[in-house]
Amino acid sequence: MAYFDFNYVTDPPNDEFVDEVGQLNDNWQEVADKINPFNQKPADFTGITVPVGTEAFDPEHVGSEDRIAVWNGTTWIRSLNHTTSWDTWELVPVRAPRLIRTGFPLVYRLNQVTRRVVLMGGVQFDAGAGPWTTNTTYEITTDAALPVSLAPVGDLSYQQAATGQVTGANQFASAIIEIKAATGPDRTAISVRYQGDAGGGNFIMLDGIEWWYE
Amino acid sequence: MGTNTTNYNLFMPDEEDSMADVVTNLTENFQKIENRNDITVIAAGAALPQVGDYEVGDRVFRNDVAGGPTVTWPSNYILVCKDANWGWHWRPIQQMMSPWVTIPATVINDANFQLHPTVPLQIALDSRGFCHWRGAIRRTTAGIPVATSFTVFKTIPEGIRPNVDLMHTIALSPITGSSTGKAGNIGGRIFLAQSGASSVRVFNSNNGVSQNVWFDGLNYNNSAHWYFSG
Repeated sequence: MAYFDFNYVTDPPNDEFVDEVGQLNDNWQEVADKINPFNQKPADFTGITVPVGTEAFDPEHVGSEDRIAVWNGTTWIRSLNHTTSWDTWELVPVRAPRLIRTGFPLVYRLNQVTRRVVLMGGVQFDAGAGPWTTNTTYEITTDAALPVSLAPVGDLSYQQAATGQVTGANQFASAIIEIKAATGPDRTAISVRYQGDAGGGNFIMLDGIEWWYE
Repeated sequence: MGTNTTNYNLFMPDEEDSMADVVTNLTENFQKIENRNDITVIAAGAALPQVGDYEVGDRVFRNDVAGGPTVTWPSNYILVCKDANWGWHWRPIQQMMSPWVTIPATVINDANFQLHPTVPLQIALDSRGFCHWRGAIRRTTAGIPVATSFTVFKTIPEGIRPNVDLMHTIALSPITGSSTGKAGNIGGRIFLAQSGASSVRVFNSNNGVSQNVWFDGLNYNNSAHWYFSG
């Protein structure tokens, strides 16, 4: 069935008079029914036999509501209802002697619709917030922190991150974050590498680090 | 004789036409409307078209299973970019994210660079007006020269390029800082121009041994012409 299901208005002499109500007017009704819904919320869909959504419209969370119906080539089906698009924030266990920076818990969050992982939070070198050793890679997550199923596409990703310090000369440096599929045991490993002057960089922040998994 | 409308090519009779010609005046017009709205239906999970008789602005529907095992969703997609070097890109309407499109090797402009062999360079569009990148490219031999810009990509086309000039940090690997560890060993940056031939540049401020250029985390709003709000 086509998107528009028209009557074909038959030609005289087969029909001596065009049946306006049965053919023509029904066609106009068909046009009216199928043009409207793209601009209306599900509550207005009753006339075209689409299930009516019960969720309140929530403009701050696009995708959390049943927004518009779609035509799949045969019939109307209701569209978006990603009510669980973002999972809750989960704490990422940190590998000792690295520690979470006080007040900035290292957390990750999944979007299983888009297959995306995002991070927030910061880590420090040790309990005394000592300086990171320049140009040295440290795996900051424990073996059990993140399963290998969350490894980035291609099993490897590098990204930039900000660093900070509480004492010492002003320095503006950054760190490189490595996310990879690791073995022994299988896991997704997050490592950091401070890239500034020696002696600085007490904190490495992972806000904004993100990757996509298969 | 009557005239035809510019959009649907519907026949509009004038006073000289026989109003008894129902087929021409009515039936054929309804048929044109009906045919015009038969959209292409893509099978669940299948790639969106990268070739075919489509123009920018055309629509397809991918008949995914609602909430299926890989969290798919039935959705319309609108073609917003059709480029031989960057691929075809479809903006999702109902689904949050388009399928990832692997960028063809012909996107590389500088012969000293190539696509990464195991980490594909890919782009996806979301329904919020953003363009997302992931993956890597690399220099054919290790050692991206320091403090030098390279026009690594051919001109990025409208539909996936940013609305305004964009500069973003990127990571380089392998990572081996300088012996003194001076601040400034911070990797590279990418420049995406909103227009013009020299559209993408990589600037290595590492110490010259890196080979790979990483785009994970790069995303920007390019919704000036294609924005679908909630």
